[in-house]
Amino acid sequence: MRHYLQILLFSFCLAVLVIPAWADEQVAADEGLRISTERKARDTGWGDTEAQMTMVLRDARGRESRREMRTLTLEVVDDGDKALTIFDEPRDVRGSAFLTHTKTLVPDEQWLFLPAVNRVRRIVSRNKSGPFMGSEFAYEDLSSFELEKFSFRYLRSETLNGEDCYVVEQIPQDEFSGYSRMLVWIDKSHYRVQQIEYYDRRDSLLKTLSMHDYQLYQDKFWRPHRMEMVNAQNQKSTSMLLNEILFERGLTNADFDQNALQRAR
Amino acid sequence: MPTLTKMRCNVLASWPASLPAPMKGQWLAALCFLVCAIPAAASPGGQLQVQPNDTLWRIANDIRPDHSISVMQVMLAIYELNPQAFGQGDLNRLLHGVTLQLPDREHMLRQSSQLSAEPAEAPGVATEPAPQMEATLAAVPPPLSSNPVATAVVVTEVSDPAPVFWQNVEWFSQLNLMPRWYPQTGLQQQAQWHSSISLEFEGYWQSDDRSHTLVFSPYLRWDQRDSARHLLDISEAYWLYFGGDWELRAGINKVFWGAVESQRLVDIINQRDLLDRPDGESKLGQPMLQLSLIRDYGTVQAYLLPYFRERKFAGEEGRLRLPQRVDSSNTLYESRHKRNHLDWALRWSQQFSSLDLGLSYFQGTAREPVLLPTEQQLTPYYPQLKQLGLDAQWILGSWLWKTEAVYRHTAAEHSKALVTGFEYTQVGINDHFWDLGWLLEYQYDSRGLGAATVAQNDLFAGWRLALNDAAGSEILFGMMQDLDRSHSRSAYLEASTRLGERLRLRVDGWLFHSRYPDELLYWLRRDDYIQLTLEYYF
Repeated sequence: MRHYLQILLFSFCLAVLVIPAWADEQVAADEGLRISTERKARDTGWGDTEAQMTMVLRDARGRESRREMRTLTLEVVDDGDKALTIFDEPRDVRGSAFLTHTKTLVPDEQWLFLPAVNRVRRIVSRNKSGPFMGSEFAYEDLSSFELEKFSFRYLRSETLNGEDCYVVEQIPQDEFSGYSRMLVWIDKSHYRVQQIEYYDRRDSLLKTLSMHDYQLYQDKFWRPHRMEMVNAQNQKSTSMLLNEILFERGLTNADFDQNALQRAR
Repeated sequence: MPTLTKMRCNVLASWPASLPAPMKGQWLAALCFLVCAIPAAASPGGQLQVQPNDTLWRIANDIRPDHSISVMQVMLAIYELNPQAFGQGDLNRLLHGVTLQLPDREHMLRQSSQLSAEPAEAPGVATEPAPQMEATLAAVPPPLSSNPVATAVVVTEVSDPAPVFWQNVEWFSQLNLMPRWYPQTGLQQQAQWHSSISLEFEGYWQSDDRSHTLVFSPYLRWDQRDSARHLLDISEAYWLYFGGDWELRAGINKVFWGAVESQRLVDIINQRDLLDRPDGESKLGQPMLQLSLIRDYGTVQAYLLPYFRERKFAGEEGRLRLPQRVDSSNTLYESRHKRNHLDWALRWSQQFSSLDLGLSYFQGTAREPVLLPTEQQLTPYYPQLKQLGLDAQWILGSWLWKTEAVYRHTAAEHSKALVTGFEYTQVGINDHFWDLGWLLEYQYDSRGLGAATVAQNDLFAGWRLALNDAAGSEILFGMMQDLDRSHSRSAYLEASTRLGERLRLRVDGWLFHSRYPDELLYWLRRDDYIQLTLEYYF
């Protein structure tokens, strides 16, 4: 009998301690999801875009190399977006093209076209954590933001770059992600991402992405014209510059299949 | 990459390496006589009227009494008995409607003995009519160098009054310097240094709505030693129209089909440029009309291929070749239309989430010739081929499973071949961003050891290391081991890195090892090489 009482007492204490914590956790999760859902909603309906971009890679000693590319994107309403990136420079990879079909529930599908052999090569989805073109961006950093890919937790509010921001923790659901978690700063005025901190699988800070020079398109859609990714572990950094972006280019699914990959140059 | 170097060449079948070269011809003649004499079932000589669809090869194949006599022997015997049946005395030009006197078995056999009785001095003399000579597929050894395919971004600034079209044409150029060094002199005392230079241009234009594209890409190669390696080619020159769910391409183009790493089984549209790379990754431009329908049930592509590109073979001074010279001036075709035979192909491909599947059919002139021994040299013979192909890739996490299979049919034989295996990728090894891929593939060919197959029962293992650095450095190492013959193997290395914005440096190397004179690899055993390629883009 005394034994049962002990258990009962123990359970009660545990409940007193845990339930509020659990409830707080639930509130934080709900709030994180609300903020992220709003973030996604504010960036819905753009249809398709065509962008010209420059990537500047800097090593630890500050030496630079450049990448020129064009990216076509297509918004897919019920699933992840599609993107086709065509490389113009460096010249040894000119005409190489990279196609991503972001998926919400299953792993993304990716293909690479190599003009030297006229060959489309499928990329294993595990490669997502690998560097994109030798830069500090991983493939997964460039795929479209989809709610289903993460669990969320609202942490706090704070001011960043003069903007009042929510700080939301995002935990990737994909076991092949290179990150244990990300901290995302989202401004309260327009729900734009201002900064992301990426934590590696050992939970130490890996890199920080900051967004700059936001401009408004179609009266609705904000696009950063400069993104800076700084690696905290190896001191390398990459700037992604958006030189030009055009909306409503009339792109369709046919511009984002394996045939399109071979047509692109 | 793949390996065409594994093919056996029955031309040289059954020469014991221990025999001194001058002896080989006689020894072979005796052997052949013995082999041929055993199954003695004489077939009576009769008559036959040539029908419009007949070819000499087909007739010879039909009346061949048994496999101890080669189709070539039968063809020669027919020719000898019926010189009047051939236009201008050309073996290629069998006249229709004539009545042929068919040779008997003895006569066919005599062809072989007569031929092989000739003094065979150098290892070259391809006299020997070994049993199953018709299976003498020898896809040629290959030499040389780098990666064509070009690039660089220079927009031509044409003077103002020029039409808008020219202003929108982009021109790219690539220059390759390719010194190649062989640690040993060749079997025919060829030199150790063989350097070459290649130049490729590309002009590219696309209409504003992206529906029309024009591509023009000439290619030029010059070799220091081997004039057979000189090449002036149009690797691409086509017009492409894109109509939303269909595409039409007209002109010269290159097409790739396939999935596996170690071999190219299904990929058949283009002739390979084995003189550029021994692995067959380099191709010659193929004139074609290609229609693609892009539908929910998959992509269907239809090809009409009106003109055939012959395979090119190394010359006297070249390395990576058979001991005999290949005489491309007397190339033989099964079809009387020769290189103008209209080949065609169909392909259906579809992607089912993690599975990519392709089915293809080709009918027309085989891309790989049979090398027929005539006099002191080899004559390429291109039979008509029907080929059914399957290629598939299946992604499972870090695993990429790949399979290619073909069923081939020519007048002489039916055969099946399969390559299947996987690539397993380890991402971010060694606390770096390095990716390491492990490749393992099994190669099978139903033609077996006796015939001239490529890799009939072989294992390929390879490692692909991507450093994921700003220079885009990559290393690929692969080796092929014959599972039936312990002393038959080859290995290769491909590495490359970027130097600055306009240069890329490549290193390619091959090792060949074989103790079996009936396979091609044996004749390449002194042709191990290493090549540097400096690619300059402008």
